[in-house]
Amino acid sequence: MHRRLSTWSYVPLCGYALIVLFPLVWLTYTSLKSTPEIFLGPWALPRAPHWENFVHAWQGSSGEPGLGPYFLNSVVITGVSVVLILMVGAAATYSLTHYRFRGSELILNLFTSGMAFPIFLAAVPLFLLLNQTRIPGLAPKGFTNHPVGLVAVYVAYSLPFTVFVLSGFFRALPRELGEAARVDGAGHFAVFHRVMMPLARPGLIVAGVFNVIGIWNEYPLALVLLSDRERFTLPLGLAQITQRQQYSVDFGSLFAALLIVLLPAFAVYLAFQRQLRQGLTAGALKG
Amino acid sequence: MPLHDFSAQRRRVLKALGGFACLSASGCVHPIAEESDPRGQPRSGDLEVRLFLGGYGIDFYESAAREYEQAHPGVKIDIKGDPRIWDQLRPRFVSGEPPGLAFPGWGMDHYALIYERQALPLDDALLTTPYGKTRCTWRETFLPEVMKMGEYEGQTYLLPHYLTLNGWWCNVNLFREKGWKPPQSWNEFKALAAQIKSAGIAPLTHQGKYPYYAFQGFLLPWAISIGGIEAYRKAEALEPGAWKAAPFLESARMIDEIRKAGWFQNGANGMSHTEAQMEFLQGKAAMIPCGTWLESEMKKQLPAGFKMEFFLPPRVDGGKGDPSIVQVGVEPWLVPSLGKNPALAIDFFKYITSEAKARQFVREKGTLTAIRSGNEGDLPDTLQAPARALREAKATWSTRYAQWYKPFEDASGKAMAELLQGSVTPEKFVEKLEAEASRVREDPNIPKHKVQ
Amino acid sequence: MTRRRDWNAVGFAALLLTPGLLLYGLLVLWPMEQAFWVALHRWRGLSGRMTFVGLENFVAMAGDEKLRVALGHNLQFFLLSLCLVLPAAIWFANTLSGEIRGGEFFRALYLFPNVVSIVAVSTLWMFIYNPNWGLLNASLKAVGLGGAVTTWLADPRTVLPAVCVSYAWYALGFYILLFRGGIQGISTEILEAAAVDGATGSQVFARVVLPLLADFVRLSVIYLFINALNVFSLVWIMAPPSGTAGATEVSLTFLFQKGFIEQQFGYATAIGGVTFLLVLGLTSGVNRLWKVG
Repeated sequence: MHRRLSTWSYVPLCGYALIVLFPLVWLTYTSLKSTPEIFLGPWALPRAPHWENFVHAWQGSSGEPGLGPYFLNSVVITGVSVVLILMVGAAATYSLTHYRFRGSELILNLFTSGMAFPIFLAAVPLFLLLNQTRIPGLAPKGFTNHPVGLVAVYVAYSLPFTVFVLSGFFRALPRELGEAARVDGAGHFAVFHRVMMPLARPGLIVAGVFNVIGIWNEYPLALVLLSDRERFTLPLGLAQITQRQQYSVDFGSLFAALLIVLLPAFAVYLAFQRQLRQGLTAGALKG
Repeated sequence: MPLHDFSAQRRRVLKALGGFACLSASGCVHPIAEESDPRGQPRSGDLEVRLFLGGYGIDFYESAAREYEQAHPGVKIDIKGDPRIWDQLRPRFVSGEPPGLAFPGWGMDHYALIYERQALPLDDALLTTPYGKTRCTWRETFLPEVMKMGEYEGQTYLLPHYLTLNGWWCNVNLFREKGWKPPQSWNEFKALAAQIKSAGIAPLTHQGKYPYYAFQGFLLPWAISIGGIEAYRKAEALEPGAWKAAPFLESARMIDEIRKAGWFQNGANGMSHTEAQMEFLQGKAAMIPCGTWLESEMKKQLPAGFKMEFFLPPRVDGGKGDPSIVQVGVEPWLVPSLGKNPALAIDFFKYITSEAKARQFVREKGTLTAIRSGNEGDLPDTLQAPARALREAKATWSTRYAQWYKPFEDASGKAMAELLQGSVTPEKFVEKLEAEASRVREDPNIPKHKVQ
Repeated sequence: MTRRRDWNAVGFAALLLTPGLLLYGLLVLWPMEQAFWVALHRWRGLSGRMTFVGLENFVAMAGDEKLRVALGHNLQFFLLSLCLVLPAAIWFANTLSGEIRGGEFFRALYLFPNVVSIVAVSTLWMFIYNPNWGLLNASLKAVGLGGAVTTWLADPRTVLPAVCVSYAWYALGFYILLFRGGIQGISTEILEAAAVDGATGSQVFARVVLPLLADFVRLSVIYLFINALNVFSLVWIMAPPSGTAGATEVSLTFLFQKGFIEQQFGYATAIGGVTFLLVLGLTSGVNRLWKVG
């Protein structure tokens, strides 16, 4: 596209940039302030950086746990879950959008309306189900406090959003391409794997990035399904710090903790945003 | 989902408790049972303890568990805490696999657990002797008023550990510098508030985002001061007309008067407890209503040299209420009736509530305790005044009704927010309270509590 | 041309669908079905003891004034977020798809807020809205609008829009992304053809781009609606309903109050179930309407 923007368009663009950036910049420098400093001059720069906020957030302070031990758990759980979600989600969506059969539309709606079901109502039955499903060797004490259980739940509960996003992209894929490939002798799996999946890449990247962010920050399910501290994910650790604000106010460490949780998600986004953009512009979609 | 066989469970527990089971059942009053000497009653087995991880941490309980394990070889106590422990406990209660001993925290509806028979009645255990004493029962070591909070239909299910007092706080240095004194009465308060305001400081701030602070700090203390504790007991019992009776209306008018005079800090209606308390610590507001946890909650934020002092909410001149009355609060413990090893759970909690451990808790954590003799001896500065108030109190009260009747708490909080914003008159406000009270009264699905 | 049923295709479609459907059925639909069962009971959610009451909870819902008010707030939230998000998302998406100076920077920027967790978003905006030293009131005073200063998160008139603005800040990037995907999908030939015909930028946008984005507008409306029904954490942290005299009571805070505070799990679940069916019906309805249109 060759279109030049009028100078006026930069006014809202820059305004938006400011609105987006300022709170994040503020979050960053506020994490280096002491709590009285935050309350006395919430918008002022720190007088001297309080690096100990980060130490407290990471290691904990006065006998209370910090975020450090949960970091690796979160990385593993998020990574494995998102890979599985994309595989399972793409397969299901492709099946529902490209092979029309009786009820395919209904199943699609069933998937997407799952987004509207309040998770915390399912929490108790879900806990009981996982707790009582016991498999010797793999999960002798049930799937609560179990990484496999949590990943399975994350995959299942991310499907509504993933199917929702991918259905838009898969619907936009020309069916003719697939049919052409079939005429050339490609099997169903080859069409899906070699033709459609690469074409749906922008959608997969969109779904992937948002699922990474969503699962990285997921709290209510982890809260109900994990009670062993060794299994905790970062949001549970963060919640301990936020909850503690009610008994022992330390906003500096809270902001530092928020930033510690934010940064990896941010890094993933920055790493993928180039691909995300390339994904959006590349491929047959452009016509 | 299966119905659990409660009675068999209960029998098992009573058996485990030894010979004391008959006492209350047969009606014989025998205050002193056998000494709970560990040698006489060997304890063994595993105990799972799940605790609310709040401001006082769980380290105290962890080290108590290690001591207990040393004294009782064969006992293994597993202690874990979480700031939202109630969310984790709920499915365990439903599945019939609760921990052996629980401190479920403020997010748990303790009374609903009692209605569901998930808590073990502890009356028999309370007749046994406590650790370190021989001449009294375990029950007698607690403050009697506080024990009433754990009762339902004549049995005791919930046990207290630490104790909080609710009142007002003033900024000591500011008051000293200006020559002000904490107001003892409403008239003194009005005179002082005018002075403070003209000095360019907000006389009073409050945690407006959570309106129950205004119930505990303003409405109820004044209603009790005006109408006496009887007026409040009637309201707690949801007697028709009690919530709109003269003492409550008068008290609501006082709140309205403060609002109209501009004595509340600007914007306090939208402040969380943290925000309001920071304003107080920064000297922007001279007084704040809060419980005795205030200093511990804000300890990392105290400006150098800052001192605060507790005092009872100003009484109303000419009122019927006893001026020494204090408002107390506890966060209870319970022994789940389906938990494993209830006898061990009870004995471990008895150990925690022994005089020596109670004193240690007070010293280490800077809070008062519900164990009578625990509040004697060395106390931190900020606890001196509350401890004195507690000693001198001829009576105590608590906001039990808010725990009993949750729908009322919610609706009355919203009404309070309107009163504080000035969008309803005091008359309309008490009408709303009364309407909500009668809604609860007439709802057959809400179990009612007798008020003694 | 008559087509024989291609059993290969059926088998393959089933194979692809099975893992997703299995996981979803077992871990989402089954607990959900359990929840629907609960809705027919009186249950405190604290023991295995449930009393069957048939449709009592649903009957109670029909006459519940408080629930009606709460759903009204959800609707307000939906309409507000629609107005705030949709036009802005389309405009930004279209602008950013053009060739602009600093495009790299702006394109990298817009998803930033989406990375932030809701806890952080809420905390952030509480500081912005603080009545005494918040950024908003300070800015208003600085530009001479001191009269507009208010307690944003306590005043029943301002609190819902205030929360909605913070939501829009958080969510806008996702919708920009969605529409950018849509715009990239429009073939360049169409746009170039339109440009050759002498259409100006805004004409191309209105006559060519916008109609081709219809599918994405539909997705956005549905998604915004679902999110408006699901708003909870933001409200619960920034402005819990008790402190706003109920001005921020939405269906999930009401459900939370009923289920987790008043221990009426049967009733809470009934609310959740009806909300779910509402969305299911609405999604199907909107999809059908869109096809007809």
